[in-house]
Amino acid sequence: MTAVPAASPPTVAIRCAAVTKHYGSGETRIAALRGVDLAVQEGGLTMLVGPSGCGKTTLISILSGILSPSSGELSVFGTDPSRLSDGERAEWRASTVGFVFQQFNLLPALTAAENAAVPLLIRGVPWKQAVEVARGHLAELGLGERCASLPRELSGGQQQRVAIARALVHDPRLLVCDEPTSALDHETGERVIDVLRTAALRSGRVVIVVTHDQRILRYADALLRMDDGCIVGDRSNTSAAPAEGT
Amino acid sequence: MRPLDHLAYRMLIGDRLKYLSLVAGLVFASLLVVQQASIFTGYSDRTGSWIYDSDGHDLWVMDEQVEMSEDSKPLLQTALSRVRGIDGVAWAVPLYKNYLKARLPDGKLITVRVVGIDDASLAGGPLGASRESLATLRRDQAILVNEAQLATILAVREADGSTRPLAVGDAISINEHQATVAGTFKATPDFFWDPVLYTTYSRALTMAPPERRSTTYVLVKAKSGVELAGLAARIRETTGFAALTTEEFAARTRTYVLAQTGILINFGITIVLGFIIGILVAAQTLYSFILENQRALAALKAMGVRNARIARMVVVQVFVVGVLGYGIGAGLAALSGSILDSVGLAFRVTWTTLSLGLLAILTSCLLAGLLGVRRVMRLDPASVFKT
Repeated sequence: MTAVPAASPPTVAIRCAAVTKHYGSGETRIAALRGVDLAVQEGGLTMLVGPSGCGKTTLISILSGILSPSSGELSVFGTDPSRLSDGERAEWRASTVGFVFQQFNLLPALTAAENAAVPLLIRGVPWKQAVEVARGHLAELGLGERCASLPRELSGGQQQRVAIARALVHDPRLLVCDEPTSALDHETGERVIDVLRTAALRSGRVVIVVTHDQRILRYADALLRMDDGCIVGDRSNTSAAPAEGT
Repeated sequence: MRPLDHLAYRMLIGDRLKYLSLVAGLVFASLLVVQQASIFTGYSDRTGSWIYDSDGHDLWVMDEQVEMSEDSKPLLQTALSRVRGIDGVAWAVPLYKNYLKARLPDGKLITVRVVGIDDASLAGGPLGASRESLATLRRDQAILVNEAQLATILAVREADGSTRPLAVGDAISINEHQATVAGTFKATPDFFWDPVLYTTYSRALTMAPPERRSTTYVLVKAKSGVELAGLAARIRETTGFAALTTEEFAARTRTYVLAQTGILINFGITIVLGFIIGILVAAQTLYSFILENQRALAALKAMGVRNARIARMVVVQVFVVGVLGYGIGAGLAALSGSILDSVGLAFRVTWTTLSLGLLAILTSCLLAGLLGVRRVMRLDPASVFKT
């Protein structure tokens, strides 16, 4: 692993400097990111907003080690995932990153507990032990009674909470959430963001939420606005009131 | 079982409908492959039935140009004494075999294979004949017939239109010579359909058209302790005749039939077509299954599962459905074989058929699976973030 020299204060968990990302080449070359500079602090809920096609998905893909930038400096908890080999990067993702997808991406054949246990299974934890740990996380999220349910037997909000349990079960330092509330009604969406914020407030963890949902912006500790591949606005929302119930 | 292997298994069996479709496709493919191959093996084996049913000797001596058991290229009668004089021969007897016309008691004319065995020893007679039945050949005009054909190809039509089995005591005419059914024998089902009638060598010669060469085979028994390969070589060197063991003669016959009759090509085409259809069904289902799971596999990939592990998961799934589908398919084929066998059709399952069938099914499934995985591996990992 190659660590980027830590020139930033210790509370900065993620740092990007002049990060670009291009797709294609020649006349078909498209710039998805045009020099992103970014610093995200530990222990907060960071929201990333902007119009469709502005580069949000590309940015979180790079931050989570799924894509590599075309150029620029990147440090995520002291590691530049783009400098790791494919295998090392997969290991790094498995240990460092938790994902919450817009469409949940739960495995339809598995129960809620088994779905939530997947990251532990990826890390080689035995099946029964992994499922047991996952049950505990589901119980914390109020789904203790639905551990044996299949995804199709759960509501959208419940499925998203299973997805969150899955994202947290291996205790990752970075949680990347893509439109976690867009498929949910207002009340359920608020409950979900509440859970995410609780996770974010845990020391050392960073939660990045990509969203179009204006209703949840008030929960952000930091708000990043993107447009045309650049960060066009960066606001720390230290005055944001904690979500109800937290 | 490793956690991700377990996960792959659960993903596979979780959607019962798709799982059963996959297994059903493979059952179909396996059934076709094993059944057709076993029918082919059964027919192939039957080409040697008459040879295997011949009793008591070690070597078949014949004209070098004989290509199969039904190919008559007779030797001079002096061949017998030449063979008897070779070192290592315990005894040698002549055997006559030829296709002749026979008229049944109802006047029906059929072609029969007349086999004349040594008058004195009756060596070369059918294994499935009792000692008493074989001894009846010493009676005047006696012939032995295959008991399985008494009520079929040898059945006699009565004046009132009904039919009855040919029976012991019935008289038939062979090439205008009178013969009497003196007994029966049990025979292994034969690839060649014309009935075999056994009689003595000298009687067979009286029935047959006069020929200078009248000994179709010389049957040889080796002295105790004499190596057959060495004896066969000596016979070849001394006489110029071919000397084959029962296995070698059966193999020569089988090879000729498969090569010259088109049966191999016909069955081969059926087997290959059945295999292709079955495999296409299974491969298509398997491929669709993987594509339908593409998003889930991509999500796993995003969460840190390496490509090699994704491939391994697919291999686990392929192995489970492949072995299960093949097991059921081969079992059904064996079941259908016992039914086919009971109605007299050729069917023989061998370990070679089963092993090659399993290998072919698993390889095809694996290829189909890896074709699907290839797409997953090439998938833009960021696609998991798209709706």
